Formats: sequence, structure tokens, C-alpha cells
Amino acid sequence: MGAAPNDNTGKKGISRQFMYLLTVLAILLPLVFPVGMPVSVTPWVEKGYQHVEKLNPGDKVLISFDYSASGAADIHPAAEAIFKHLMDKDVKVITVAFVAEGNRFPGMLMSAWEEQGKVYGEDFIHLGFLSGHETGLAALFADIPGAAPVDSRGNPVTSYPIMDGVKTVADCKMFIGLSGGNPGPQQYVRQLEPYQGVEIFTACTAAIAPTVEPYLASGQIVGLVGGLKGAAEYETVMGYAGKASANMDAQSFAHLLVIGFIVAGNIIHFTSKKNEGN
Amino acid sequence: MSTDLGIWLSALLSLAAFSFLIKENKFYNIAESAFIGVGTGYAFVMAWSNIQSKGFGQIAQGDYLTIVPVLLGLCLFGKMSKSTAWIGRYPAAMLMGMGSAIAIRGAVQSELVRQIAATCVPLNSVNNIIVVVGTLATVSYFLFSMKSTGSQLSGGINALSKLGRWVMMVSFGAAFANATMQRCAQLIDRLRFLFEEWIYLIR
Repeated sequence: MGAAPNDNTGKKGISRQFMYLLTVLAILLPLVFPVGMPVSVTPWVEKGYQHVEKLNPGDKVLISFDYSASGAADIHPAAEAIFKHLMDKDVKVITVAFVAEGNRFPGMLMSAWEEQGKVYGEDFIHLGFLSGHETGLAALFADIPGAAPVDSRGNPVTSYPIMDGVKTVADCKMFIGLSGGNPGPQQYVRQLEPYQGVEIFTACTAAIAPTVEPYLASGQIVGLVGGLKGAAEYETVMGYAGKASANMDAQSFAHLLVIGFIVAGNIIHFTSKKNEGN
Repeated sequence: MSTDLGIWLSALLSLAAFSFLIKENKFYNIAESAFIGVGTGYAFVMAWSNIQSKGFGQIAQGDYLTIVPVLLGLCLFGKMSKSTAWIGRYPAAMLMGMGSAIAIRGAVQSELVRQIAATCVPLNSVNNIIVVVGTLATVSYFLFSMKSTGSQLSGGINALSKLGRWVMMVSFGAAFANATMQRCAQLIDRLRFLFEEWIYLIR
């Protein structure tokens, strides 16, 4: 089963299907039989947590849900953890989505918290989907009730107590961007440049996390939760084990397997090259 | 095993998508088409409700200035026919012009000035040295006009640009590793769904 023709070259190698099977097993076994591998917390997650921790009850935070269903597996656990942190601290949350599919995620979080006694319109509000990506961001930051006159439930946003005194993004203490691509950290930083008092905290897919590093180094973004691993770190620093932490064993085993594939691939490559030379 | 019809549908579509790993087949094509169709339908509904609430709704409430962007939006449909395509050029030009202007407005300060300032750090730690040398080396890779003059300066820049290539390769490697991590997370999510919510193997 292991040795089969390579699809591209016709040379003998490890069959793709065998590699897929190993990957599924490497993920499935730790899910069924968890081993509880430790999760180390990176400084950027710790810093993001500390900045949220410094918020006072009643402070307002704007969160943008800019990820689609395909990115949800990587970002939504972070969204849950950060939302929980904000709710625990009684921070008022205003949400919006600049990606159409992202529009459904705030409602999922809010309905769970409504069951626990939080009130829509007082503790949180969802402004709905706004089109335009970066131009939409600029419009919302400059005039929140103007860019989003009605919320996701079809009522005027100014009719909700949470929107009292909220005119621009400068009336919020923090902007949290949950991004799977565009708009993403680059767009958030660009459009929040005129609003220096608003801290930017971002959670994004692991794929775009390295592009955020320059903004962290310059202090333009105060914290980064990168992908599922970042979400597990955020849960760890909050002191609870949620969905992300539960998946970390599987993630670690999958990475070990990928490293094994890379090593094996290189060994096969160089061995076959040597044999060809002989 | 779950008795929820929605979970069964979701599980079967997930399996159909996974079947591509063996080879392309009808089940995969159905799942792919369903995914694209549902995504497009959802995006259309969201866009329409956006136009209703923030366009027609505002006009109905007396905000007549909203007629202007609504009309400009309608003009974009002119591009559907060759004879009326010129009508669509005006809103398209506005979209491009305004979009570029809005992006550039913040870019100069946030991506140029602040990023340059962030690399002006004292060379008192290994990290800072890597940041400064790595940035200079990478920027030198894109100095195309000074590489082939044969002078000592161009030789130095050539050497620095080679280092820059290595710095970029390291950063591409990090990006690739992160992309792999994201794909793993997506696979974990699907497998957890199948074995936890569908067949109850994970408890």
C-alpha cells in the first residue's frame, strides 16, 4: 500500500491516499483518546489578553467578523474565547461584518449569551453586514449610525441604549478584527490610523498571522490570536479549556506527521538522486 | 448516531467533499456545486437585504440623498450590454478612485512612516539586529538598477540582496507552515463534527 507510482513523475514513492489515511488517523486518534498536551502561550496572545483585561465594565468595543464558513474552523474558537472574555468583564460589544458569510457568527455568539442573561441592545448589538470592504470600514469608523442606520434585526441602531454616545469608532476603546483575509489587519490599521486612541486587537487565520507581525512590532496592533493554536492559547491564559484547547492534541500530532512527511520526502528525494547518479 | 436531518446532510456533503481525495467523482461534484450555490445565494440575499435596509429603506424615510448611490449602483448593470456599457464606467471610475484614495490615505502613515520608524531600533539585541539587517537586505533585493554596474557598491548590494532572498525564503516558510496549520485546523473541525456530532464516537 505504501509504495505506489508518484502522480507527477511516475517514480516510486508514497501514495497520496496512504498519506491522507495517516493524516486522518493522526488527527482522529488524539480526538478519541486525548493526551492533554500542554499549550504554551505566546507573548502576542498574552498582550492581547492583558489589553482586554484592562477594559472597564461599560467600555465599548467594536468587533468585525470578517471570515467566511471556510475560515470559521480556524477563527471562530478565538471569537468565542474573546467574546467570553468581554462578556465576563461586562464590556459592551458592537459587532459588524464586512464579509457576507461572517454576518451569521455574531448572532450565534449572542444567542448563547442571551440564554445566560445578557440583553441584546444593552450588552451587545449586531449592526449586520456592510458591503464595500475597506471603503465600508472607512465609512463605519467615521460615522457608525450613518453607515449602519439599522441593526441586523431591522431596528434603528439609535433606538438601543448600547449606542448612546456612539458616533464614531473613537467612542470605542478597542477595535477587534476577526479576519480570514480581506478586509484584514492591513486594512484595519490603515483605516484606524486617524483614530489613535482606539487600540487594535486582531484574531486571524493562521495563514495570514505572519503578515501581522510587522504591525505588532511597531505597536500598531496590540495583540494577535493566530488561528486555532492562538485560540487555545487565549483559552489557556483565561484559565479554561474550550473548543480550541480540545483540538490541540490533534493539531500537534498532525504537525508531527507533516514534519515526518517532509523529512521522509527529502530522504527519498536525495536517496533516489544518489541512486540515479550511480 | 445523530437523528438530526441537518447533521446527516452536512455529514454526507462532508464525506462527498472528502471523496475527492480518492479521485474526482459525481458526489464530489454535487458537494462542490452545492457549496458554490449556497455561498452565492447567501451572498445575494445579504447584498439584497443591505440594499433594502441601507438604500430603499433610507429613501422611504426621507433621506433622498441616498438616491444618488442607488442610481450609481444601478448604472453598473449597464455593463451587461455593449451598447450601454458606457453608463457603467462612471460608477466604476468612482469605485476605483474612491477605493484607492481611501486606502492610500492611511497607507502612507501606517505602512510607510510607522513601519520605517519600527525598524529604527538600537542594535543592542539579536532580535533587533535581525530586524534591521533583515529589512535592509530584503529591501536591497528590490534595488534592480544598481546590481550590474560592476562597481564595489553594486557588489555589496548584490551580496546583501542574496541575504534578502534568504530572509524572504524564511518568511515564506513561516507563511507556508502557518497555512498548513490552518488546513489541519479545518480538517480537525470536520473530523470532530463527523465523529462527535454525527456518529458520537468522540465524547
